[in-house]
Amino acid sequence: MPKRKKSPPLTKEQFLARVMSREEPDREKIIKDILEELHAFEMKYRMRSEIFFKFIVGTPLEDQPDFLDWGMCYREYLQIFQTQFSPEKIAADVLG
Amino acid sequence: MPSLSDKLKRWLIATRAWEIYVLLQKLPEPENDLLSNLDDLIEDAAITGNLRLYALWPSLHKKLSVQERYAFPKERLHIDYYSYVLSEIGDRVIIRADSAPHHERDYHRKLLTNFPHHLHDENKRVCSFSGELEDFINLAVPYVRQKRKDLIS
Repeated sequence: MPKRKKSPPLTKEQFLARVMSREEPDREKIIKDILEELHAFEMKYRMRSEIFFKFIVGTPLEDQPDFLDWGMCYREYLQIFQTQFSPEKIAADVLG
Repeated sequence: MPSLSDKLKRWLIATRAWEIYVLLQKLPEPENDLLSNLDDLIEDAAITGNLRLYALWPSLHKKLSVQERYAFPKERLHIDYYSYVLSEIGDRVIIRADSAPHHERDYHRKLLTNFPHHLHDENKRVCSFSGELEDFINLAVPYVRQKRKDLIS
């Protein structure tokens, strides 16, 4: 088996500098990935994410790894759209 | 151009990701290249508010999932919610901990010492838990060092 390539060792400062020098993230790709993940959960459990979130999240039924992941994923989805369409963002887009 | 608050958020998440990376050094070196992937995960987290990372040991049939949801009150990072899961590849959960308020008492019917933080032990029993990733990793160490029993010849 070929040897796995390892990342070179980094210091915390080097790591932070590397992260901070990156371009702005590809929001579209992130949204696409989240939607795919939500779709996979919906297919697996034959339930829409909205229904899952309304009736299972926050109840004892949620307490299993898949459901915790699904809830987390749906919150990501909500967070993105909340940011995308927040009054501040809309105002910033309009005003440039 | 990202705003100052986006940059600050990214820096706070990156700092936490580094802390997690350092804590993971207590475990055998993951077989996936965690450090290279961290940049992408941090970018995702800066948008979604969730950091999700996985350390994998396919040769040991183990996987550690660390998921944290962040809030940023007063320009500081606060872990709003987390889920830490150590499982066998194939998804049999070994131990897991989270901060969802599903349980008030442990399996002895005693109040959890740090509600809502709790841990499900290898017998799926609810136990008190500090809420600290470091403590979870300390609990995970012996399991990760262990090969799956049915694979030991």
